[in-house]
Amino acid sequence: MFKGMVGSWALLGVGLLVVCLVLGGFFGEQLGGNVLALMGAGLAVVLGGIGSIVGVGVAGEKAAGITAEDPDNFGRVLPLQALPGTQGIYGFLVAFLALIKMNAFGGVLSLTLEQGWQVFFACLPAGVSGLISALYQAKVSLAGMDIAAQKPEESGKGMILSAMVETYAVLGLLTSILLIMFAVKI
Amino acid sequence: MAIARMRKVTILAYQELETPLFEKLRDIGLMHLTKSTVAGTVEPPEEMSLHAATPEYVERLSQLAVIRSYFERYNTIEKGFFDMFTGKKPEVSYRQFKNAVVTYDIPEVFAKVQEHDERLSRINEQITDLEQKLQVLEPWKPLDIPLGEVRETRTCDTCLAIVPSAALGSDVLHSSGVHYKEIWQDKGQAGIWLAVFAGEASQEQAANTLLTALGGTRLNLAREVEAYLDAGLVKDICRAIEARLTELRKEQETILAKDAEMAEGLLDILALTDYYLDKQNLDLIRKEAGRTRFTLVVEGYVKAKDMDLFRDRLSVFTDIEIIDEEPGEDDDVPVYLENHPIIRPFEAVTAIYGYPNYRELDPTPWLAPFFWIFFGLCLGDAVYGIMLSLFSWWFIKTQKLEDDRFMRLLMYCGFSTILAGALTGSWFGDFPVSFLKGTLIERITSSIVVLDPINDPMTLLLVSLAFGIVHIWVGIIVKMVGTIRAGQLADGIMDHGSWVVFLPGMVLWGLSKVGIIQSNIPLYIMAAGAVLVMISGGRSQKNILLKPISAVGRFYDIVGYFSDVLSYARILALMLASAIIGVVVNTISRLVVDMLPGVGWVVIPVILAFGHLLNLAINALGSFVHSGRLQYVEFFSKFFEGGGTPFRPLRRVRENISLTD
Repeated sequence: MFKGMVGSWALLGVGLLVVCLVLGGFFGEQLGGNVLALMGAGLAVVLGGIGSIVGVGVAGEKAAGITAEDPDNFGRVLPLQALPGTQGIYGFLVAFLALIKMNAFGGVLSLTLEQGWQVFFACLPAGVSGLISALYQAKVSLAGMDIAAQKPEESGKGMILSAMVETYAVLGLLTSILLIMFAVKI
Repeated sequence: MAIARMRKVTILAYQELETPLFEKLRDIGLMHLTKSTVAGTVEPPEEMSLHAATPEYVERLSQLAVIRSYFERYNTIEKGFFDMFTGKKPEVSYRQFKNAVVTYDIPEVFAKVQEHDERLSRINEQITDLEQKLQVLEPWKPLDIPLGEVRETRTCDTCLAIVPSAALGSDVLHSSGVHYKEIWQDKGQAGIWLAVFAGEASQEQAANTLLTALGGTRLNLAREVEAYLDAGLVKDICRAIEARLTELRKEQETILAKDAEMAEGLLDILALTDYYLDKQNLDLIRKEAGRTRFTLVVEGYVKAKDMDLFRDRLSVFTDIEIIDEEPGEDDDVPVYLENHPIIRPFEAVTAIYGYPNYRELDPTPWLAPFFWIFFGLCLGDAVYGIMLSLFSWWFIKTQKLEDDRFMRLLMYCGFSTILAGALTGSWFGDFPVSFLKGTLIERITSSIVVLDPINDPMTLLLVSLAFGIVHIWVGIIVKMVGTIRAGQLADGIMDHGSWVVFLPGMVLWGLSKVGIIQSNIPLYIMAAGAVLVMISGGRSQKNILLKPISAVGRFYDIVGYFSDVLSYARILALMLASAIIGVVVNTISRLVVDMLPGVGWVVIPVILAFGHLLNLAINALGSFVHSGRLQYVEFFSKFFEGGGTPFRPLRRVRENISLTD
């Protein structure tokens, strides 16, 4: 079921992104730099969040099924469920960095339109790579749980396979962090 | 050496010794058995072939499974929270185990269990049935005629019926020859006793016509409670039923109590299950042995250093012959990793990927320092490191694991995390700076900072990539050593040694280009390496015309190494992730103080504890899998073949319990 849904969830996220882009593109002048920057920060959280929510959710369902069959497997399937959860945290992390950069905690926001777009785009790598990698990582995690169920002592291999997908979320995160810290001029 | 040397062992024995020999081998637990390769092996004796009677353990195991699931309704074996993760089994003393095997009467308990199960379900059925009847009878209690007398007589039809309340006023009920008495009324319905004088002509349920006209239904309560009609009035019948119910419940309780008592033996059942599983296992293993008409050939491997002990233990059998020899070239020798106690925990990392084959190097000592450093850098927070180490240490002390390599690994990795955290000034994120500004702690922690990852990530990126270069370089060295050890000196030096020279030469040359090193030596090293690489490339090409192309083509490998090195950027990313989330947790808790003056200080510990624990858990998992990945994908691909079979000596099956002395 979930495997067929991956595309739709990814599409939902990308759709959100497109809506924000269109909004910014047509009404940028009216919205102003602050709103654009905040939209970017929000997108980082929401896109990573969608991926992680769906990923951890479906992985949890299967983990519960496997644990029901043999409760001893709980400790083995738990990390596999947790793996697609990091993307949501990466998104949150990027949003928080963006907020700090914008001085959101320090007082009045006063970003120009250009600065707003800079923050917006700096947030995207983590958001989009997080969204898609979490969904596909969940697929690998689900398959990895079969390893845990059938050959419990080999479950570590499932974790490594799943972590391969996360690489690209990590790269997205790294890019977003570097962009926000050094490329965005505020 | 890190891979234990093995001796290939063949035992020849008379077939009469089969059972005691295998049991002895199991008890010794030193020999890894393999399928016999003896040619001309005869078929196993009749008793072991397919047509033989089913062995005892098959029946016992299925009985035990039934008993076990029955007992588990009454008794559960207490499991600690951590046992969910460690899969620890309940402990049974050897004495109790032996006792259970000798005295426990499985068929009897099985029969009892089945009988009880059946009786309980019958009782339950009866109870539900009687309770339903009571419910039906309840409203009819005021009826003052014995229920058995409500029936047709020759001239009169009497019955109990339910009619709509509105129908009570109907003329039909008040016509002559009809008597009724209202027993109850509820929710627009009424229960009545009805007598209709039918005359001689039609005795056949004369009341039915009348009831149809009223829209009511006839009840036949007497048939429902036939067994209790002797009691007479409805209320007496109810009392009789209640008495029967009490009786049944008492019976049920007695059985349940007996069951609960029997279920105390659940641990015995688990022990017995293991006992018969062990028999099954031995039976399977026996079928792998080779046979001639009178003799038995058992083959396998024993660690070379255990050989004397092994012979000594088997000396009780005087009539057997033990041959031990060096394993041959084509033998699939099982692998047992044997490392220094400090390196041993890192075998857990190797084991996740798979064992090396018997003839190559054990990668564990090579990956150990890198895994240790990478994990520390990725998690990179001193307090998290302290927590991780303390937790693992406590876990090892209290949980008494059979294999504590993994927890020890976490403990060691905690140390590197402390180190990395201290050097990057991360103690619970920026806790000292944000909460203890100006105190001694803050001054001490900031005085040992070498690098601040948040403000200077570029340096850390370079450090990460530098570690990557060293890691890959070591991988190539290991390959070179392995090749030379296998006797291919020229291949080792040319194919791998060339890169061992070229790669650092290139890096140093790069450093000299940007002016960090003022010397021409790197250029010479790189040039020498490049020449070697080209020679090695040309060497493999037989066609003399294609040799130059092949030689230059060898440099294409640089692309592979380059992308490998980039992969180490994840160290920086993960370090930033855990450090920044730590900072975020602190920031949020400070914001809360500002938002909720006064009470804020109460909420802070909660936010800090929750946030930092979550960060620790998520990032420890991430650090582990990503440090692992760097070993498996970037490092192992340089030299590791793998595919070894782990050494698993024949031992007693311990699936459900762990035996103690």
